[in-house]
Amino acid sequence: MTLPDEDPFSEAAEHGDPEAVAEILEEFRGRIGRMLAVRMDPRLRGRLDASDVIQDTFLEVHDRIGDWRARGDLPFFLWVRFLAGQKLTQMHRKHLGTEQRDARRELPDALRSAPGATTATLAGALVASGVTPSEQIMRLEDESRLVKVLDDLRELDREVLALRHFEGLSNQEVARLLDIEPSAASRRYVRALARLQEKLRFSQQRGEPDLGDLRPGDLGPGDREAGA
Amino acid sequence: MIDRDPSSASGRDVSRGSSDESDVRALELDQLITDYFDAQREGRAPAVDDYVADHPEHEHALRAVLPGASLLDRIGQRAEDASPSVRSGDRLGEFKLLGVLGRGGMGIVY
Repeated sequence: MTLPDEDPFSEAAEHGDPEAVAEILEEFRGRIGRMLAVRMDPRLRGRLDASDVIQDTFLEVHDRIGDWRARGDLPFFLWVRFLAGQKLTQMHRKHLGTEQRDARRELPDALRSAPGATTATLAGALVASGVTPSEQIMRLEDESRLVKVLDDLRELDREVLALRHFEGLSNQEVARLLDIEPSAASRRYVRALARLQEKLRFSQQRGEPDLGDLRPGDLGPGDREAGA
Repeated sequence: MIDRDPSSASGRDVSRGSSDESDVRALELDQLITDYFDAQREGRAPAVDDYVADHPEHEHALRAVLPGASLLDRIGQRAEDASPSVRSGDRLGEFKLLGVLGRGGMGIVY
């Protein structure tokens, strides 16, 4: 499999000198930071600085970029994200001695290298975002509803939503991680969103507009529940 | 984002099996949802009703996902604010500022 040609970062990283690679990594910093923010165990906040994890990851990238070039089948960003996820997992083990939760064993390998975006890590990220008390009151209700609903979703649904909406991965990137066709990844994503909204309907309050749900055929004729 | 062009998403081989039409539809729908949230982050998201009116062929599916996804996405943006890494780099600072301006409904004022 060749790298998709719409990925300029991979192309630049393939041929670039260390300085060029460092520039690309700076472009990734925000997205890697998001990944760490939504996956870091809240007990590590204050003890572990995400900036240090990112720094360690970038050093490792420079050391091991030859490995990535040799395999030549993984978009550069996904490789960097993979290394950062591994580092975070190591930090979790070191500081908390935690093993991966059993539920994560059901996920594809590529998704298990990083700790899961659980409702606990997400809640920790929200607290750490430091909003003022009045804003907090306005949002608390929506957020606690959403967090409860996320808890009820299947692990893979939650993971797909975290990748797309919390980490900002593209459908192509999620498809690559799940090792499925982009159209299949799109279906998973839309279904996960529909399940999320369906569950939100049950926690809905009076006076709010009615939320729709997905019907058979919305994803096209001949559609079938793939895999999940 | 690396791919934002609908043609690049659907240009890949989707010929497996008998559901080509379904594949194209799923990719289209995904792209519409993605575009909607790109617009939302830039502070120019249309109302769900207006967006749906522009894409009647996906009306039902869009109504089935956009309101819930909207809440999810806003919370994702908050989590981004919690990321210490966005402090470094003036360029990222610019991105962050744009992101915050894009969230009028959130009550964040910078």
